[in-house]
Amino acid sequence: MRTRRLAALAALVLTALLLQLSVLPVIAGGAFVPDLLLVLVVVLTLEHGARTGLWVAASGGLLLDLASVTVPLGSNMLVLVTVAYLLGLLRPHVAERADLTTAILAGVAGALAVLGQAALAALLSEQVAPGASVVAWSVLVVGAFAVLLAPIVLLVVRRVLVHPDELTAELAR
Amino acid sequence: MSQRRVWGLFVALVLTALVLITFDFRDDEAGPTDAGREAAAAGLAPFETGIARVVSPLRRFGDGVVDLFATRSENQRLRAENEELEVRRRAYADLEREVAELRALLGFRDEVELSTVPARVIAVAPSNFEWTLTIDVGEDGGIERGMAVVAAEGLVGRVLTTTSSASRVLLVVDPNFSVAARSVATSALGLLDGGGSEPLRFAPLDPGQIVDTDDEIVTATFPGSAIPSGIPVGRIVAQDERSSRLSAAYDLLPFVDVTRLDHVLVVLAGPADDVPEFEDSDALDVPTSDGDAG
Repeated sequence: MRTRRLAALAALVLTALLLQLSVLPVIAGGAFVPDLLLVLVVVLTLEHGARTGLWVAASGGLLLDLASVTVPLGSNMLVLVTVAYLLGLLRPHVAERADLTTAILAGVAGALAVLGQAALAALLSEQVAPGASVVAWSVLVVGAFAVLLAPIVLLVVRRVLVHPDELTAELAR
Repeated sequence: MSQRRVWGLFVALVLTALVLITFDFRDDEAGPTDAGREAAAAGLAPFETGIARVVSPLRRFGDGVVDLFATRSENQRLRAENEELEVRRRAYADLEREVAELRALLGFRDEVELSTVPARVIAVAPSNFEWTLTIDVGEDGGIERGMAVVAAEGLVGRVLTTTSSASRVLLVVDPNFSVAARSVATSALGLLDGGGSEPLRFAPLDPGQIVDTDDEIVTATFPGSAIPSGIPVGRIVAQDERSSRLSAAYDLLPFVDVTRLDHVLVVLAGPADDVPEFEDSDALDVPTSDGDAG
């Protein structure tokens, strides 16, 4: 049961990463990159708890860092882990299976993550910091895409992973 | 209890990330983090190639639908442009012959024909503040770090890292990109920098050099750089607001739309040789004022 769950989580993270690298920028017109991994982290944190969310955020963020060239290793990991922790704090106050709330929270998290990435880029890049207008546009586009992607990710996650409550019920039987 | 364990995990992961950032930030070239990146690129490349195969027809279809609306006016514009170019081409053929003759007369070294390798774009940058591409040709195809990447319209970027079957390309618009360049009209030499989402920036070495709007900027050779001379980069659109009499700079719009690239060419050329050191000669023929020749 445990290994199957781990394998499912790993498959989800890898699929999200590949889609984010090659398919989503095409859909978004090439100028912006919708953050699918972040949406996956948001959905998993709200549905399966902060621990799952944190581990997925750390591994997915690290893979994203490895796939990039100019961003220092660990920066996407830092942003995603922080997002997962904050959502974990919010989780007790969010109703079970409140899909609209999940989508809105995904949008907010997307905007916050872009701001975090921009701040890290400004702090760590040796060259020019990203301009205010491009940051504002990225916040809008990535946030909107996160809201749109959240229901799809919710559907997939519910298909692939057994909900923790059902899992405990199954084990108790 | 559970809340505290989550906090502990969070702190541990944040510390790991911070250690990684510090480590990667301090380590310049070819460290263990770069090895990790290479392994990741090599592992992801086959999947990315597969996805790109599926996605690129879709992308072309999408572009086709968008272009459909602009076709008529574009057709007219292109016909007019074609006529003008046809006239210029005739003059150009004559000029080309003349240049060849003059070069032969002067004993110029022949310009080497550039050899290129075609490549498919299989992935783009993973975040919004980085301008890179991944292409499906690597060391096995003869690609080396620093080589120029071009498209039909002009310069796309420079190869940053390679694996056996894939390479990552730093785009000309990335703020980390920098290349020697010159204006075609005045041949003013200067430095070209990417601007991220801002326009590119061309700074002439001699701030007094006048560079006009609409001037075409091409690459220039530089010792240690593998980017050949004369690759078109873009057109000057305006003088930069920050420029002064001591440091002039101009905004430049690239010819290549880096967001719509499907196929590119990698120029297989090594870095230009360093200029050999000049040697002092003892046998200098300095004319003396003694007048002993007389």
